[in-house]
Amino acid sequence: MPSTPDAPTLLAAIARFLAADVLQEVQDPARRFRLRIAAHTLGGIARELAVGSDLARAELAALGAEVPTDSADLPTAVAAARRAMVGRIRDPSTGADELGALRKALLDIEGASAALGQPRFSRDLHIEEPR
Amino acid sequence: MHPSSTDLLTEFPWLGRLADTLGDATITAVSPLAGGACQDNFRIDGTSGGVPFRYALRSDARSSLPGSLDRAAEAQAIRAAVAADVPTPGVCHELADLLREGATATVLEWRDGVAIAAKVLKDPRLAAAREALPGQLAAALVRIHSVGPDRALSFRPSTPWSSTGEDAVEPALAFTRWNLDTLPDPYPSLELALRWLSEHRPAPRPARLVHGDFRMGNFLVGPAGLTAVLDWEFAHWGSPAEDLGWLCVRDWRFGRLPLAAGGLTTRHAFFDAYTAAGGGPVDPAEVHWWEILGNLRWAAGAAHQTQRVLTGAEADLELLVIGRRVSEMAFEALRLIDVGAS
Repeated sequence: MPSTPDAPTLLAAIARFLAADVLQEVQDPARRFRLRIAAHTLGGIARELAVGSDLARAELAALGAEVPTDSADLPTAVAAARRAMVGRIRDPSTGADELGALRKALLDIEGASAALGQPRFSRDLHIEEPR
Repeated sequence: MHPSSTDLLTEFPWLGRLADTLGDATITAVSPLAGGACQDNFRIDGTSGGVPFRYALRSDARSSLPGSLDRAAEAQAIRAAVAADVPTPGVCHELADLLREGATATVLEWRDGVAIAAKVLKDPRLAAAREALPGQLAAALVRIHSVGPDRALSFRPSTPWSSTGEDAVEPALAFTRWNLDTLPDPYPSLELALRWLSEHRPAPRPARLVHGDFRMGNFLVGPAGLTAVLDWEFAHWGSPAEDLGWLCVRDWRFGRLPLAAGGLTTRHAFFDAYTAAGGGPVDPAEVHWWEILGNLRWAAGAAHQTQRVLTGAEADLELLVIGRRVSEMAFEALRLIDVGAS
């Protein structure tokens, strides 16, 4: 058991405090709405801090890029890999098979990223009622 | 001729001019209205000749999204819709430079109802309204799409995705391309979806009036159902299938994922209601294409909303954080490509 709480734990606690305690004291609908946004965003940042590095490594793998050994280099590496992949997608010579495989890989990445912000985000492929 | 309260005049110095415009008016209350990220909206209460009135006032905000109309152009779209019997508040007055220089304001008729989508979809008191809404919305959409460029000659928006010609697809793709290119960060998933769209274009169709933001949140609803279609800031000439696809975009279902048409009913039940209302047959594959494009448009729009804050044009928390949701729309665009048209 660590003796001091880490950043994700603290942020998650602050998010719960805002959503549970402070929200009760605020009556103005517009301020309540913004308070909910603030609490929700903090919760997302807490999850991002906890597992965002893993997601960044997974995205680099999906984009076929090298994963840096130092976590501090991940944002730069991801930005560069995205830029390179956008160029590849826009290149007419990039074939349907490569694009199809990339689509499958990016579905996983975008789904995981969406779930960081919205834990209840459904990643099911078939979500609608049939005809 | 004047607002009754000096306090009101101090807070809203433009009220004197508004009162003059409304005739022998005394304005008794000004209430900011929620919603409308690209406008400042107010409810205006007062009396004129001893008769109480209530209006909605809608003014250009300091900044807006790409493709958003200013109020003067929006008023032309509203007039075309009113002439086609679309249930929507009519334009009573237009005032240039009212809230600030360069910002046009429109005074609109007031309609009662609930617009907040979560309430419309979940409030037990609106259960009967939810039953009626699919048919009412389909009928409203058919009336909107009955308007062709020849019937609304004064509505010629300069927005890049508007096309009075036969091909609404190419301007929509070009506008989406521009939307992505003007963002500071690259988005491979959105790029991939855009490439798929450009390789699977639907057949051209004659241009019709398109609402451009026909979704939950822009429908005013009372106990008996639809009271008004709101918010014409993205109106343009284009394909009717665009409005159908936009209504089905996942984010407008507010948790009721199985019911694709705004969380109200299934895609095909809504398409059937549209056809029954006189809108002609619907091609599900064409709407599927526009729904994917709609997700791209909303993803780029969310990223642009964040840019409005990062560039200092706005200072709103909601706008700042909304760009963090791009992954949701990116996932949905790729999911739709993966599962195909149903």
